[in-house]
Amino acid sequence: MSTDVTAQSGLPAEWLPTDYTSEELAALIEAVLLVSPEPPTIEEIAAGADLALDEVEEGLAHLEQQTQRGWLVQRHGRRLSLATNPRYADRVRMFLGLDREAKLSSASLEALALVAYQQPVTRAEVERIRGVDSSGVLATLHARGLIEPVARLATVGNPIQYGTTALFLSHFGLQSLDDLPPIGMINGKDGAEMLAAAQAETWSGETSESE
Amino acid sequence: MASDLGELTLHTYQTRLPSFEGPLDLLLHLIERQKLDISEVSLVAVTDQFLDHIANLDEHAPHIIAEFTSVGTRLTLLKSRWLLPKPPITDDEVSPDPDDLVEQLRAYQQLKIAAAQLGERISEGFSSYANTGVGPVVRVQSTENIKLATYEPRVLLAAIRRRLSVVPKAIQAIRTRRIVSIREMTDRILTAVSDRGRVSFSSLTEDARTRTDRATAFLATLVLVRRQIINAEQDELFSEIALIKGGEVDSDTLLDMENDFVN
Repeated sequence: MSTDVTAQSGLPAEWLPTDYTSEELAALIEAVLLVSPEPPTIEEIAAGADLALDEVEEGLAHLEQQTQRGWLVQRHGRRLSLATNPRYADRVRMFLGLDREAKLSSASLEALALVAYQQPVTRAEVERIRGVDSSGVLATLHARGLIEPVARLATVGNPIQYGTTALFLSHFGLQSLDDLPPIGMINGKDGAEMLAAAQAETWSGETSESE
Repeated sequence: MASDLGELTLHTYQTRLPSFEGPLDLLLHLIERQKLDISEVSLVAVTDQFLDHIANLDEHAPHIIAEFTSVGTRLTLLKSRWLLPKPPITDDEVSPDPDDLVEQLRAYQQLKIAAAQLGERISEGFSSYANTGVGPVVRVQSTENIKLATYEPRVLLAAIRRRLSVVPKAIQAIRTRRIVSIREMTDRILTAVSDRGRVSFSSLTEDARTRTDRATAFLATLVLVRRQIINAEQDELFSEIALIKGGEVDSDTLLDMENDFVN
């Protein structure tokens, strides 16, 4: 793995470790993310830095345990990027001269929460669960860059399915979607399952709505 | 005027205080207010309150009223079934499943909790920032309110002049050194020699500022010696050269000499 690099750099072979430890893999991923102009995918890191996929995952797992750093690795789908540690958000905002993130209305939060937890989600599904017209709310969330169309559902009218963006993760200081606060249990029923069932209900029977 | 305002305030109070995102939001609010669990029984219990609310929706957009009314009819059906002896179910009649509304409401309640959790993260201000390549922006801490209008025209004019003075001018002067021509040097030597009869070469080049000037003087001397206009004497190598007045100079010779320089 390291022989080519050694030959090019003219360094003695023993200078480069032949097998990276988790810590070294983590450091290497940090280094790659630091110089990458665009958030790379896990596959791109593996191919570009001559690592195995599970080595990248191993390094990432190590990175995700480290919460004392000034940055964290954000995972949006398969893409990775460095972002500042939310703990220091106030000072970073001050440094960047930014105002505090604008609050979202409760309607926006409801729609956004559904997209975040159940993505991909169509407008009809949001409206089915919220019981109210949500086109304006989704348009606002899209305009603010928090959600984006990710696919089209294979049903009548091929409605757009929305997912959350990398900006959404930053906005809420999340490392990945796994980092979302867990949905609890209500009346002995799993909340996430309940949402999923309600979402699926949109396309069954007379309540389904054509786009 | 005052009565208008009073009416407006009352109107705003009535419709705004219970501000609900939709019928499910209202329904959930009514049930939670009575500290009930979400069930068929509690839906029936709040049906009348829900219908009261619909009655107050007159001035809302039709599609909002429709949304509320839709849920209202389901509630009414639910309540009527609860109160009346159950009619025999006919095959061709498909009625909405009463549990459907219960499930829908539970899912919505769940969504509201999830939304509130998300909202908390925002109000905590725990955002993270990616490197956008914009670079650091140091916020300028200005204590004064800068207003252009508060400046006098004189101050503004001075500021504009100061700014414009930095702008490079279209034509720029290039510093050039004055070059002494051989013609000029020849005249100078001839004048010195004819005035004093005998001059040293070094005295001619005393005020020469550059090597070029000295070289010009030497070249002019050589030309004059060749034309026998002056004579030159040097006792030994590198010693002082003395320039002595030679034969008479006529204008033809000088003109001829001029041609030497041109060629």
